[in-house]
Amino acid sequence: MSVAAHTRKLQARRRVWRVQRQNGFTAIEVLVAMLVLVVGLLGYFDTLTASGSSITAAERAAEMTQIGDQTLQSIEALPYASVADSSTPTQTTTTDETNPTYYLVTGPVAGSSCTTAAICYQWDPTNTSSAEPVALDTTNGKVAPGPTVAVVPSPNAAGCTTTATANCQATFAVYAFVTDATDPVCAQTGVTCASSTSYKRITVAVKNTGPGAPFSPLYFSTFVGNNVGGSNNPLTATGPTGPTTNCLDGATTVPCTH
Amino acid sequence: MFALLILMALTIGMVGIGAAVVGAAHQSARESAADSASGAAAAGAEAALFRLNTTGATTSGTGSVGSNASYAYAVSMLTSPSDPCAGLWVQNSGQSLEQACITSTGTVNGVSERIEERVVAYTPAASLFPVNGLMAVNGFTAAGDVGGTFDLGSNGQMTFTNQITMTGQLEYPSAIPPNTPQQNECSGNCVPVAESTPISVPTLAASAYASAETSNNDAAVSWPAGFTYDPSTQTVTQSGVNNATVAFPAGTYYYCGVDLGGGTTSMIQTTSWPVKIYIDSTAGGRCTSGTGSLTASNGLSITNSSGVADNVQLYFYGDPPCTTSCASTFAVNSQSYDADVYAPYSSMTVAGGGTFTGVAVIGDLTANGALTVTAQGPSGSGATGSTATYYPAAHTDCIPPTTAGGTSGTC
Repeated sequence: MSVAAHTRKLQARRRVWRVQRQNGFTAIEVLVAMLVLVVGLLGYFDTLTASGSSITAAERAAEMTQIGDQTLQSIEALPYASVADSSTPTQTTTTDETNPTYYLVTGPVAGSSCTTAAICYQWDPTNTSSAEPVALDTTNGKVAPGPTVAVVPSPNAAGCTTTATANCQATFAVYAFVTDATDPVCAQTGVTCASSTSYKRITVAVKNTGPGAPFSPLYFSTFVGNNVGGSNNPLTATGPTGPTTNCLDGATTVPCTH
Repeated sequence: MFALLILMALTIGMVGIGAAVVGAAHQSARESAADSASGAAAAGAEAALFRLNTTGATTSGTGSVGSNASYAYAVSMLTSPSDPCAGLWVQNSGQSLEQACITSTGTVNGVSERIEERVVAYTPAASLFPVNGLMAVNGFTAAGDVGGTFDLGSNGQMTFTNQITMTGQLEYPSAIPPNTPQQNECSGNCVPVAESTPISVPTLAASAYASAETSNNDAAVSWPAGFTYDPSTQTVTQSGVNNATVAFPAGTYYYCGVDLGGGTTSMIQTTSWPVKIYIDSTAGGRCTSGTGSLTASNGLSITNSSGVADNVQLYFYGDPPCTTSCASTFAVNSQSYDADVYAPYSSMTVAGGGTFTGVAVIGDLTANGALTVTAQGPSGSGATGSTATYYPAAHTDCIPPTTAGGTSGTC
């Protein structure tokens, strides 16, 4: 065999060897790929876990919103005389500002309408002069100041109640404070208000008492006035032959439904 | 290559999950803010209604309910059925109504919710009390000092024998200036106002007395020993009664005459409110001419611990259309009352001193002792202007337009 022929033979073997090498992975390549895969999977599961807890936090916030809204609406639906706390709300902390009872104070509070040594609620956390007397009526009041327990059962898990919360997916504390609000217009010169209570302020707070976020309570607030009226109310007054007030729907007279 | 594909899929999955997490959190926060904003909007509507009823003004306003929640409202009067507002146009077969529309927007963390409320009130009748204090229609005579915070008006001669220390307006006919024989002029806090035309005093319809005659709570009054209540004549007489206290619970009462006896501390004590006492003479069918007096031979007080004089109202039909020397129908020695008194065709004689809180219209008033008045008028009396009391009639949650600047929404 000539030198040239031997060289061609060697070159041919190298080509074959190169083809064989392109059809597989080296051990290093496999190891690197596995490492990347493991890292990626770890990241994925980490994200999945984190996202799982984040979604639960969002769900908890949604539940808190629903509970707060429902509580507020149920209080608004009460007769005016019943819109009052049925028992004295109690301050359970003087340090934890995320506890709604932190803003319960015993009067008097300077610069506020809380002028006696009664229990008052500071509805604006940033302003002590917002303290108002709690509307307390142990006879007619139908609003439990709380905290009352609200729960969300875990899927397919029995035994979650407001008194046994071990199997619950989420637990919340609901607070409802009713205060006597004096409208600022009553302080204007020449304005005479018939009563120190212009309307009642309802403040509902829902706090997550389970693990995880949200860590701050959600607050829902509105006013309720005594707007029933009786004979002074055109919509409730009746004459000898029935209601004297009706409504006009286009050109048609119809009963007023309200 | 395979590993890269898996990594790409995982990355896409993670991004998707992350977006879902952020979206869910954002949606949750928005729903919470929207609910809080709805509450704030309702609070604004309630504040607007209270201020409308308190001041009668339709000014807009703003306020806070804490936790970053605020409201802004506007009030507009509705004048025709085509004016847009929640609900339907309200009408009444017997009385005119006033309607207003309250639009309130609550905002929490940039999320706003708006509501609209139609409110309705009876158009307030003209006040029976044209002066925020004391109106002595035909004439006023004071032998003692006249003080207090009130307006004093008359279409006749006013005579002040002693000091005038009152704070308020002294409204007299320009042709008949006050007679002040001791040169004790109305000055300082007392502001003289010469009226070029007589002060108009609205008339309470005789039907109001007839209605009280038909339906009243007279049976709820327990008259103490010594009194005799005759339901057939609607009169109360007494024999040897001194310092009696008669309790009147909330209700409407109708009498042709009441004699409360003697003693310095006779008392009409009101315990719940409102109390309306009609003393008739000829408006209804039961009383006869010459009746219609409420008397006590010495002192009399009408107590009212509600703090609102308007909660106790006394109406005397008197002797219309007398303009001078009306029959004496409310006469005592000294008296104090915390009530509104409407007696344009009656004479009131206070032989001693008098202390009054409320508003009054008297035909002729003679006070021989010191007279002190604190005006506390009902809505619409005198210079305070008429104020209607509105009540909610309809409510709607406004739906925002589906496109920016669109008109497909409501309110």
